Amino acid sequence: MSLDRMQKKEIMDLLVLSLEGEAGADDLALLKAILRDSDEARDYYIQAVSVVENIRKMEWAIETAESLTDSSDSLSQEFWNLFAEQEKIAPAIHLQKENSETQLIQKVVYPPVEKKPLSRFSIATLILSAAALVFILIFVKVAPVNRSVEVATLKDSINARWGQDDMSMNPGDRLISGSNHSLLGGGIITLLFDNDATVTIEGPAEFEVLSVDRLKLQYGQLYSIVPKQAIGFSVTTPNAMVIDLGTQFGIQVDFRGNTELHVNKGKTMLISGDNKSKMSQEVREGAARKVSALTMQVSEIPCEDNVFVRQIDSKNDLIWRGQSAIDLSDVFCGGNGLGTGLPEGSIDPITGEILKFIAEDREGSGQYVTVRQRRFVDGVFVPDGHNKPVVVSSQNHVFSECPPTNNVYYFDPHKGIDADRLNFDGLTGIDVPAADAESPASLMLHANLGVTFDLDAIREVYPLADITQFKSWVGISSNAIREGNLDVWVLVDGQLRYSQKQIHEKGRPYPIRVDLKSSDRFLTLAVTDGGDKDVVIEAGRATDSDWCLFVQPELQLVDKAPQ
Amino acid sequence: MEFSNQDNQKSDERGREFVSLLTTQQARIYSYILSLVPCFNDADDILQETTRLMWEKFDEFKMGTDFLAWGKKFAYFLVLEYYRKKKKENQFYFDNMLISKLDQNFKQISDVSKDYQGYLKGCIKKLKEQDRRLLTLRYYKNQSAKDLANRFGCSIQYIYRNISRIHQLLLACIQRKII
Repeated sequence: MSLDRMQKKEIMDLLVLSLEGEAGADDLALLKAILRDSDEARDYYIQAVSVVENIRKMEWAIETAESLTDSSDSLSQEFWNLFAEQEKIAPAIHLQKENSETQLIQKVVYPPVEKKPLSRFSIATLILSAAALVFILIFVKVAPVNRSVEVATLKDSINARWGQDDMSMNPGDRLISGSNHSLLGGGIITLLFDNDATVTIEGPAEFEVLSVDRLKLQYGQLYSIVPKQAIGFSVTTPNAMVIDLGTQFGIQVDFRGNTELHVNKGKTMLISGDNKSKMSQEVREGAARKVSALTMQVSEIPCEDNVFVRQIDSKNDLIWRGQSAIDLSDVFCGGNGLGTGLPEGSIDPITGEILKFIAEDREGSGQYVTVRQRRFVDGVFVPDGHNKPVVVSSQNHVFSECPPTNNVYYFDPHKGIDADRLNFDGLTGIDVPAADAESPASLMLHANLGVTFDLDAIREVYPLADITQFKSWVGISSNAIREGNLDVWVLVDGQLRYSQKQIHEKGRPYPIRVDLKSSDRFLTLAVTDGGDKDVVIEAGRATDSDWCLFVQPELQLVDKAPQ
Repeated sequence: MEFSNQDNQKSDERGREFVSLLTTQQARIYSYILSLVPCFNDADDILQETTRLMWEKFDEFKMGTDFLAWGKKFAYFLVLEYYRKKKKENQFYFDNMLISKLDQNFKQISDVSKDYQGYLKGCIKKLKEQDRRLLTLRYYKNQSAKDLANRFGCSIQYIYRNISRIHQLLLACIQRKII
């Protein structure tokens, strides 16, 4: 049986390490086992040795050598990208620990000292010095050694793949200062330092926890959130050091050693350069700098807001890069608002169960039902002012302005499908969906329906952000059969915050902006039939063609103010 | 005096013969040692010792027979001795069984094309510029992986991994040309 690509790679990896004297005992044992068991492996290995040896003794063309100027340090980004991609699938390579070339303790031979008579003062000094020496010796023995103390905890991780086989870590595991480099081949981890600084690292990355307030990033990217008590927390890179002055910042070190610093909040001190020419400068909120690996030059670059992973929550598959909006149609489909929900979804307003929506006139139950299968959706209901009080939350908030309706709904509430659109032609502005957008996210609440979102539950997974506003466009879907007539209501904790009554025109969008405070708990969207005549014939119902569509229903997020 | 000159002349001639044979086969002997002892430093030492022994015993070599096979015998026994020491020192070692197997495999694929270097150069030309550059820095400029890691601001592991990848590419290329 011939060797596959991964087997060949493993043999070559082990051979290269072994030839360079960098293979550990485990590597050599593995190589031995592979060679012992497979004739093909031995053939490949011997050919591999031959290639290596022939490369070593090859007569390199002079032009090749001359092309190697000292400035050729910059391997292309493509190279490193390919390299990084390979790393994601590559097995771990182990390196032996380096032996320090210098001996810490050396035998020193002193010239003979001339004997002098000792004075009382000298004797007293000697005793005190000896006592001090004893104290220092005892202290050194008893006091914790700085290089091997626990200083941080792995707070959370998502799809973390460690470079070393023996480096499998789980949330709650402690990290020791001065331990070896950690290779994060992929995934994301969050470290909580004992001084409460939080660092989220995105793989592939190589880092080292140096102490309770220092971390070294060899390459990769991280985002650091440093509370007041941890001011002074620093991150070192191959060519820079960033000292926090109370802030949030992202650092990216590429494979060539270029360092980028992006300060999203507060301020930092950036120290760049080598020992000969160190420079420092303050970098404030909204600013970013790049330190070149080649020249050590510091240049201004645009500050990125959404590049670094700021927060993860493995329970909710949350990877937050500072996005400013939570998509409620995604939340409705079981997501975290960042696109992790199902592509479609519908909830039965009578039972609160998840189902595939159907199109059929049905009557409401007069009950508010909670939705167990959606963490952030509190409940659903069919609004009808005849059945007072109209409860709109699990905490029994009441929609006192709810008008009487025919208590009928047609579609189950569901995520808008492609055919459901509003017409934004002629409208401009940053909030207007792009004309060529395939299908802006939307939520279909046909009259008479209501849905309530639990803002506190959402806040729990976005602890770094404040929810400041609900915004959306609302109107009758262009896909509706006829003109409709409906009323739209937005409530917060049962209090009316927005209404748009008597919407008739198909496709016409109405903007909704509802500011939210941190004390607001439940956001309710409700649609009623507009109170028109209700005849039990086709096209005669008050709810006929009331295909109410909320386009881009979003909660706006801003960074939480420093605590 | 006359006798002594003849001796010297003979010795010079044997020396030239030895050097001539060694020049053609030393690379193969070294490859052989390296495949049994995959560590440049240790393999270098064993090659040196092998060459010394071969010269010492060169009088026993019958001209016209297989110089490579003759030289490999010395190398083989020196490798066994090397691993015996390793075993004594409780260090990692290849056991005799594996060495014997590797020796067999080496024999089976030892008929390497004389144009190997030419093929290799052709394959190196096909590499991407950055791969070629890394290879040249490592093997022509003799920069260590540590130097390269410092130079490019990455870890040593990544240099090794990349060198391994380039070697795989070259071996695949060579195999396509030779087979």
